Amino acid sequence: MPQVQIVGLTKRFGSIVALEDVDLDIRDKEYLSIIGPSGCGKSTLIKCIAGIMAPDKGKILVDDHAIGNVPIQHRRIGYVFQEIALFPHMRIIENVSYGPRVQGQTELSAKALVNELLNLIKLSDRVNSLPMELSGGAQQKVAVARALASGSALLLFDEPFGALDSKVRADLRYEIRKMTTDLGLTVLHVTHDQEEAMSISDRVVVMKAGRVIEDGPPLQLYLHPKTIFTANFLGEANFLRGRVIQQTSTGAVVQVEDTHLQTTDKTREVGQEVIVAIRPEFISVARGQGDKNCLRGKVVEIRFMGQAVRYEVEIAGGRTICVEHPTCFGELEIEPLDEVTLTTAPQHVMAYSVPEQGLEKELQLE
Amino acid sequence: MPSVKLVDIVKRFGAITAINRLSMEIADKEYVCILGPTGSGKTTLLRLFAGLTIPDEGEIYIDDKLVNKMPAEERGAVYVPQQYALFPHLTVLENVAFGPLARGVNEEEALRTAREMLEMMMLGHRADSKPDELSGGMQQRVALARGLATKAKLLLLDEPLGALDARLRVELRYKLRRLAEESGVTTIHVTHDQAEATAVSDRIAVLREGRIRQYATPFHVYMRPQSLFVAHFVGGANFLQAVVARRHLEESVLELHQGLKITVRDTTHLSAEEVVVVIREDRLNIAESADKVDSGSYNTIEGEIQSSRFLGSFVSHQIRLANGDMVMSKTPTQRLEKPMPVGKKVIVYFKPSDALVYSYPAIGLSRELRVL
Repeated sequence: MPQVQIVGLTKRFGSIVALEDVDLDIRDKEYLSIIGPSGCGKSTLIKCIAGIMAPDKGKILVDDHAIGNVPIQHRRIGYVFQEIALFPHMRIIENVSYGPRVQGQTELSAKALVNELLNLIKLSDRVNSLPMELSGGAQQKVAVARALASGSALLLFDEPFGALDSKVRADLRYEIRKMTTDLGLTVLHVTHDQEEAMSISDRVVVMKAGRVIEDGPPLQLYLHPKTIFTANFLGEANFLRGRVIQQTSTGAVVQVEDTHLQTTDKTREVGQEVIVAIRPEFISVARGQGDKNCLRGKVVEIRFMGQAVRYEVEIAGGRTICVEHPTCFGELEIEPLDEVTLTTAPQHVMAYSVPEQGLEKELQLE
Repeated sequence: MPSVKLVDIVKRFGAITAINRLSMEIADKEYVCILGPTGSGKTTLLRLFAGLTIPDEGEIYIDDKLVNKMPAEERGAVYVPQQYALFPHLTVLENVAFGPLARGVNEEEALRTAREMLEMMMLGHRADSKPDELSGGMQQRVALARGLATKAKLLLLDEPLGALDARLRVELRYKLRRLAEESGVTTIHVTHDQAEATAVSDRIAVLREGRIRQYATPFHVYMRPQSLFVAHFVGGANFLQAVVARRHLEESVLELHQGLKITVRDTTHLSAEEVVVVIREDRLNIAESADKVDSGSYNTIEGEIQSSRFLGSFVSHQIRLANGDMVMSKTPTQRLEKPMPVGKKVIVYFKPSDALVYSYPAIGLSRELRVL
C-alpha cells in the first residue's frame, strides 16, 4: 500500500533550478502522470524518488517513512525508463527473475511470481527468447515485469514508451494500465505526451520551470484548466484578447473584436482585460449568419485529418481561428474562401488574466 | 521544379530485401509522406532519393533525368537525417547559416536566411548558443532549419519532428507544411506517425516490408484503405471476423461470432466467404438505451462498457458486444463530455455504409495487422 509524499523538494544544477520547492502527494493505488515541456523538472523529480539523484532540499516519504537515506536497491521501487535496459544475453525468464535471485530468493519461490507476471504480459510463450528476438513493445513489457518481480508496489515510469512507434505505444499503454490496476500498484508516470497522460491516469500533474502548475483528473484539467499554460499544453487552443463588459448570473460576457462571447467563468470583473481560450473541437463552423456566441470569418484552409476536418478561418483583425469538425458528424459543404460563422458554447469559453510577461512567453513550450 | 520518379527499385542488404520492386512518382511541389512501421524501409527509400544509397536494380529520375549514378551533392536535394549532426564548435546561427553558405550564398544573405529559419522554428532566442546547450528537440529543429535554409528545391526529411515533445510536434507540423507550400519545394517526409502524415501531406505512401501498400491522398488512405493493414496502421479500427450469410443487390448480411447478424453496404464478397469487417472507432456510436439511438438505418448491438478513457477531443470506450467480441468506440467530447461507467449496458450502433469488408487474409488476421 504505497503512498508517497513529496515535501519541499528542491534541486539545482549550478545556476539552473530543476526543482523548486515541489510538494506532491501520490495516493495509494493511484496512477499519476506528470507532464510538462522538456526541462520542466519532471525527470529530475522521478529520479529523486528512484534514488538515482539526491535532492538539495526537501523530503520524500513512502508510507510515512523518509527514504532519503535508503539506498536504491532497498527502496523497493520499480523503475522503467525510455531506453530499454534488459540484459541482452539473458533469456526473458532470466531477465524477469533477476531481481528475486539477487535478493536471495530461491529459484522455486521466485518462479511462481515470475510465471504469473509473464502470463500477465502475455509473453509466457516467449520465456526462452532473448530480448533482441522480441519487438520493442514486448521488450518494454518485460522491463515492467522485471521491475515488478522484485516485489515493488510502487512503479516509476520515465517516458516508458518514448522509444516505440506511435501505433505500438497507444496499444501498450492500455495494457500496462490494466495490469497495474489489476495488481493494485501505485504508479508515477512521466511523459511529454498529453494524450498518453490523460488516457492512462487517474490524475495529471502539470509542471513548468521546476514547479507544479496545477493538477487534477484528466477531464477537469482539459475542460477547465486553471492556468492558461495548461490550457495550451494539454491540447490546442485558440487565444483571443478581449474585455469583460458584463457579469451575468451564469458567468460573464467578453467583447472580442466586434463580437460578444459568453463564458461560464464567474471570477471575471467588468472592465478586466482577458485572454479567451477556445479549443478547436468546441467550435462549430457553418455558412451564413450566426446568432449568439459567434465570430465571423473567411475560410483560408481546409485539411482532412482522419477523425476530424480542420478549418482555418481568418476573422476580423487578421487572426486565424482553427476549428476541428469531427468527420463522424458528417461532411460540411464548406469550401475555401467561404464566409462562415463560428459558434461555441459558454462552457467552452475559458477566460484568463492577461499574463504579465506576454502571452507568447507564458505559453512557451520549453 | 523537381519531380521525382522511382521505377522498379530493389535494394538488398545481404539476405534482407529492404526495398522490393518499388515504383512511385512525386509531382513537382508535392508534399509526400512515407509512412510505415519500424523496419519497413522508410529511411532506405529516402536515402535512395538522396543518392546516399545506390539501388541494386531499377531507375531513379529527377525531372525525367536518370540520376542513378549522379552523386548526392549534384541532385539539388537537401537531406535532413534523423541523427542531426550539428557542428559542436559553431553557434546555432552559424550552424544554420552553413546550409546556404555551402551553396555559395554570400554571408549577409546566409545569416539573414538563417535568422528567419530559426524564428520559424521558435529558436530565435537561442541563436548564440552552442548545440550542446540545447535539448534534443531543439537540436533537431536547428538541423531542420539548416536544411530549410539551403533553399533547395527538393527536401528529404527523415522523421524531422521525431525528437520533439508531442505538443511542439503538433505546432511545428503546420509550420513545416506552410513553409513548404509557400516556398514551392517538393518534399518527401518520412514518419511513423500517421496523424502527422495526414496533417501535412498531399499524398501518403504507406510502406510495409519494402513495398508500397497504398499511395493516395490522406482522405483516400483513411476513408478507403486498400488493405486491412493500411486500415489498421492509418487511423486504427475495429476488426471483426464474419461470414457472408446472404448477398442482396445493394447490401449483404454478415454473420459475426455466435450468429450475430449485421447489414453492410458491400456486395463484392460471395455467400459463405470468410471476411473481416472494419469499422472505424469514431463510426461506432454508443447510446444509453435503444430510444436514444439516432434516427436512421443502423445496425444495433447490445454491449457492456469495459473501460473508458479520456483522450481530449475524444472519449474512448472499450465495449464487449453481446456475442463476446470486443470493440473500441470513440465519441467526440463535445457530444458526450462524461465517460460512461464501467459495467454500463449500452447500445452500439453504426451505419451499414461505415462497415468496410475485406476477404479474410491468407496469412491470418493477426499477422496481417502486425506492426513491429
